[in-house]
Amino acid sequence: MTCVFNFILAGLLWAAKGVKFSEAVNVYCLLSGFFTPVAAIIIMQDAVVGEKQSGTAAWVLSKPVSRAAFILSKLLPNLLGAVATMVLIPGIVVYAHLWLANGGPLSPLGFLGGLAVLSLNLSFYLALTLMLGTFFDSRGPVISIPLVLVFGQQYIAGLAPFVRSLLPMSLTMVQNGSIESGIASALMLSTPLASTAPVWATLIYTLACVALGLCRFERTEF
Amino acid sequence: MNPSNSIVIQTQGLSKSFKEVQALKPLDLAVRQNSIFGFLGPNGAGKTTTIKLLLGLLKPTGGGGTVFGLDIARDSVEIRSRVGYLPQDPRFYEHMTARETLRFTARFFFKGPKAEIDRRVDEMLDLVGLADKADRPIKGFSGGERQRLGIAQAQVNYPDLLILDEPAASLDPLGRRDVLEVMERLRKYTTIFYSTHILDDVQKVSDTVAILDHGELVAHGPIEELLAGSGGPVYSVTMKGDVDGARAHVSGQPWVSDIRTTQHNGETTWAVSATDPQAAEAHLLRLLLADERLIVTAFGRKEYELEEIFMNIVEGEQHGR
Repeated sequence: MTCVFNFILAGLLWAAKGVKFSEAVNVYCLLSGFFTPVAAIIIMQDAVVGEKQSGTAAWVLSKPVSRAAFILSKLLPNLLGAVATMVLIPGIVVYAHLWLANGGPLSPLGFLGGLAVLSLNLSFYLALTLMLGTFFDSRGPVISIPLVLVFGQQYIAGLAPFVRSLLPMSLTMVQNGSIESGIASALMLSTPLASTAPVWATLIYTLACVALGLCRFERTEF
Repeated sequence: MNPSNSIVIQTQGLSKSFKEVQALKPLDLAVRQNSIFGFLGPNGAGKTTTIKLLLGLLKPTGGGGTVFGLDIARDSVEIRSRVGYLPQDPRFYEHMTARETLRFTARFFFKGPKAEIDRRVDEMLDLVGLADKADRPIKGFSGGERQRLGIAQAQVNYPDLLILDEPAASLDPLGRRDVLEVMERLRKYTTIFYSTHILDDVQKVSDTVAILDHGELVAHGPIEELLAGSGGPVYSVTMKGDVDGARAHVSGQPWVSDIRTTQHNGETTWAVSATDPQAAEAHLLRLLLADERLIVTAFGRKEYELEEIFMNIVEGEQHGR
């Protein structure tokens, strides 16, 4: 996954050599904002539902392990793995590409801040998929609801522009062609942030998904 | 305190409903330490539901219970740290080998040292006869091999209480015999609570039995008591000759409550129910031998098979319903 993602990014950034530097950063954040959640959803959709269906969840829970520990053991390793392979490693490669393309380094702290925002975006979809796994017993809704959200937020924002800053897409997506409005790319380019609301909103959604998932799983019977 | 008298499992009015269906009616159960407790009942009687309630996999609708004095709803994790459990249909991670599965299980109970965990894993593999298949992925295992692995993983922590849900269900006769031997061997170290349909196995190893039917406890007690029958002692007499003449004489005795007659190959067998076993043992055979029209070919106190008791209880419950 990391290799594929790096390959795509390298190609895009190579192609971007002739275009504006800020646009290359923007493309990277946009792609990362779309494709890493899709990959994370595909990986995560089976974590809880698969174990419920196969009966291994009931077996594990007959051992001295709490239900919260079971859920967190699904979330944390997947989260760390996804952040490392889908955000950090590609991020380092992108940073190197941009350095070469730019003829000088970007602010490392700003770039790290941007990667942290991309990680938050990824965390939200992982937590959402995990939570849905605790509510449903089949994979269909667990995979389709987050995918609809990934691709459907633009339409929500179109219908109700006032909620745009509360949608996770505002972390990575350019608004009205303005680079500054994408939080991740703004941080990477060290440009002023229009608002930090998407960061806080996504953080709250992520924590809420984890909390709901834990509560639901605590009440699940096997 | 004599440890064999202490109670390991106790339930008070423990019940469970799934929507409109009452899977388990209020259940009062007590399982003594170091006993082999056979939990019997037809399919859908509520055996697995009870086991899952004890392990915290299901939440009770009413009542409650304790295992090792710990509350089954509140202290589930602590209870499970002292329990080994074999599910009815054991499921494992298919990509893992038997050895990896046992290591994985052991890690829930022990942090290490690794050599000690590996020693215990090897011991369990030997115990269930899977040492030669230890490093094969489980996805290629037969039902019997999975069951053996299930038994091994249930014992990897040397549990104080072993809960086995149909432990011999997918085993061949040799496998069944091995499981019963393992249970006998573990009796002095642990308490065994197991559900089964195989009544012969229960009669061989259990010291206490509970029979569940339609979610209701219909019999509970030491196996000797159940096998002795509930309606007083019954004596079986097989005879040839003028049986009808003797019947009137015997049934007039004050200690005889009932005589049931069956005939086979020209011989008549009576099942004589007695209200006073001492009087029956002192006089019944004498009365019959004194009658010159009769030849007695067999006499003895009737010994029930568990299957007979089980069928009587379960069918009686169904007729009474």
